[in-house]
Amino acid sequence: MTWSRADRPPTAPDDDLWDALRRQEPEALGELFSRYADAVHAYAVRHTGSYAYADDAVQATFMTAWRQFGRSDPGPLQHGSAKPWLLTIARNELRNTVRGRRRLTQFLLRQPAPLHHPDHAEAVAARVDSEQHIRAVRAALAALPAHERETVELVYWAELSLAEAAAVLGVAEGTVKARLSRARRRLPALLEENR
Amino acid sequence: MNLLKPPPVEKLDPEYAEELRRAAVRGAYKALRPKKWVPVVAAACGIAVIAVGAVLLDRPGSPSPAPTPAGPGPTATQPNGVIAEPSPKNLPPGSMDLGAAGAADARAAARKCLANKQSIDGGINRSVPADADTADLRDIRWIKSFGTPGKTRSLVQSFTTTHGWYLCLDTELLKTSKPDRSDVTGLSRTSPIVGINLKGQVGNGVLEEYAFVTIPEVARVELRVTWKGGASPWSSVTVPDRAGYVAALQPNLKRDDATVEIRALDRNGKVL
Repeated sequence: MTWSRADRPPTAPDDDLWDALRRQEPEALGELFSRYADAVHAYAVRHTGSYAYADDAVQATFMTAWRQFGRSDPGPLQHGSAKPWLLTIARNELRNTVRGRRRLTQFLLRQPAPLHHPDHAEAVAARVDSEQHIRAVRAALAALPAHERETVELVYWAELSLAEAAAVLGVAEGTVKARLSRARRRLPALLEENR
Repeated sequence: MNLLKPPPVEKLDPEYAEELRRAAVRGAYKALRPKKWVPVVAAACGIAVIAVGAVLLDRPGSPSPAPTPAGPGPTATQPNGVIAEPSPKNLPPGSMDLGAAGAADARAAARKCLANKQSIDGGINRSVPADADTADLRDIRWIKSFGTPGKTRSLVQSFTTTHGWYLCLDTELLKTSKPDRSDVTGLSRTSPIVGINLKGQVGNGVLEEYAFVTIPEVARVELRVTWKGGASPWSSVTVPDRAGYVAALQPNLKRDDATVEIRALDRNGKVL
């Protein structure tokens, strides 16, 4: 399976919005949020397998984005879309929370009784199902090396172009291609094992 | 299970998303607020502005002065590991250096600085605030502060913990690296400095800031604001430990019209 930009629906370029952000217009942050909050949220859910962590990551990503415009001029927009830039920030935010999550998990494991009772509301149950599904998919992907897994996440799941994924990962476009090629070679076996 | 197909994800609840969006915009307005104070306070404190201007500021269109001579080079490291400061009276015009800061002030600021999860250029901080208590303080000093009403000096410091090397301006984490800075690569005598340039509109002027890492031969770093047809005087700092922060504030200039010039000098005042 290959992917190309032509497969994606056309989107409005973000150049005007980016210029407004460079001028430090707060309402532009609201517009940036409206355009990309769902994309950042979906990336974070798929990356962590948790809606709760993803909610936090969305908030942190947009506040960090604003701070970056306040501190330095990031220059002209690359690739016509702010999405890769936002996913770079989201990726860093999620990395930052890993240590905290580990500590929380260890703390919960030490507790004698559950700290809270599960909520059986329909919406919550649907989220739990979704989280379980994502974790199963991630478990299957776990056989890939971390850098290939992350490349698959960005190109296939977050639907970035090769150039955009390369920008997020800080590698050359050719490296992204090579990683995808290697991952695809391994994936048929993975599909078999997880059937 | 097709692993190349994105696992379905529930979209953000529209009401919750709107709440988050409003919170983000509110936060953005709040973050801008201190900058809005500047013209008001600057007008009320005209004398202070003139005093600063005599040292650092120039008006667009005025001729640029000759480059200032380099200041004294780095001084010896004291037995406790903290690098001694040159005497402020020996410093050249335009110097931001205000002398050494105390270790207690430095550790208090370092604790807050280490509460940042990321440096302003996106580096990951792996230390926690408590690591400041045992940090190896490298270079701690007061420098002149620009752009914040009522604030005349800032504490700039570099230090190492077991997790990394850090450069902080007051409580802000400017840069981080491996403890031995071995991941700062590509520096040489032909490319002696690397850093991040920050530009902001402060009232009716432009604040240019630069946080940097250098090769050991660099003793002084200088920065000036330039625009079509003019340039500010050089603003400078001594560099005893291969890193630092330098800034200049130029009034009556729009952010988009400003550019910045940065140069690194060795201990003989030679531009590298």
